[in-house]
Amino acid sequence: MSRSQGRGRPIEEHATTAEVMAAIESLSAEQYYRLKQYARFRIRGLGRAAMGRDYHALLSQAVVSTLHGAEADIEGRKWSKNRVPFVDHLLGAMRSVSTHWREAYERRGTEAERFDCEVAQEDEEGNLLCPTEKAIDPAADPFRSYAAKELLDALDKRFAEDEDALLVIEARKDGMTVPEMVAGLGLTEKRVNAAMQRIRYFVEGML
Amino acid sequence: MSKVDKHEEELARLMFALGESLAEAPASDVLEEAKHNHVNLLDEAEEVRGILRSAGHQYLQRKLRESRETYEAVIAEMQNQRCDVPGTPGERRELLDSVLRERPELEPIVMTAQHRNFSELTDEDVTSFLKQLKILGILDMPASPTNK
Repeated sequence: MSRSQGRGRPIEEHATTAEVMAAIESLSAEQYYRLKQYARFRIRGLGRAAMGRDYHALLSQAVVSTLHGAEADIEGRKWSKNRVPFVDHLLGAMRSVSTHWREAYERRGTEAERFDCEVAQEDEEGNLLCPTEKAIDPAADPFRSYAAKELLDALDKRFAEDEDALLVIEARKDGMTVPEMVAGLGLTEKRVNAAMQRIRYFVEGML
Repeated sequence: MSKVDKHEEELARLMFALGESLAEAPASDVLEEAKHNHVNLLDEAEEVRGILRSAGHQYLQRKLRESRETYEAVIAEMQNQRCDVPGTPGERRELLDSVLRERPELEPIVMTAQHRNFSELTDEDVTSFLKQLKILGILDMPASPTNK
């Protein structure tokens, strides 16, 4: 069991590998479902940046990162078992992993702008590897863009007579937070959360 | 040039926000949503637990395999490494004896349950210990390899 102690802070205990494996078995049905749906929302939000990965891959990577954190001093994500419920830790791990995937996707793509002779390499068995074969076209993808617009249009249509939901959708598309919506749109937090739940009901059927 | 256009970016923000609202929702809301979507929670739990469990086991197996490969590589390196050791069994035994007299803290390493008495050590054991001590940098002997 690893411990770290900051000045004036309570002792933080990080879970061991065995404790992480045991925690995997200990979640409730509601928590497993919450994890899956969260992963699906993140993957849908990533779009092309998911690079073909699905919610399965995101859930798996959250566990791998946590186990890595249990063994390594610096790398991976450490689960502070006395401070954070395991389900919240996994949600945070998925948030972090998917954000990293998105950033990695944004950084990629320049391979396509260079000649094969500049970037090709041989592997240990002498096979020629050309990064351009796996490169991403940096231009926007019209099919993905259309699919995104189609879903946004479907939301507008579904909530045409639900003013709170429409406001929340527009605000979220602009990146507004709940406090910003409360302050700027005249909605209460309760109304925002209720609208979000109605939107989730609808979107979950389309994920 | 951005790789995502306006619609994709807006959808990403909305989906991430929906995910966060779900993460923060009370358990009763999540159960209500599962019911609304006609989800069998036990099936879902079984699937997700299986994914998490499988990821964990695969990670641990990979680590185990890596540890085993590292161990085998170290052992192979030790076996291949040739060190100067004295030419006769008597001289080798004398050298190990003198090392243990100078460094008594090493004695528990050599005198294990398997080797309780110094006199019971075979010449093979003595040579092996000398080589290990040499590799660990504990034994002060010439570093040049021989053809022995």
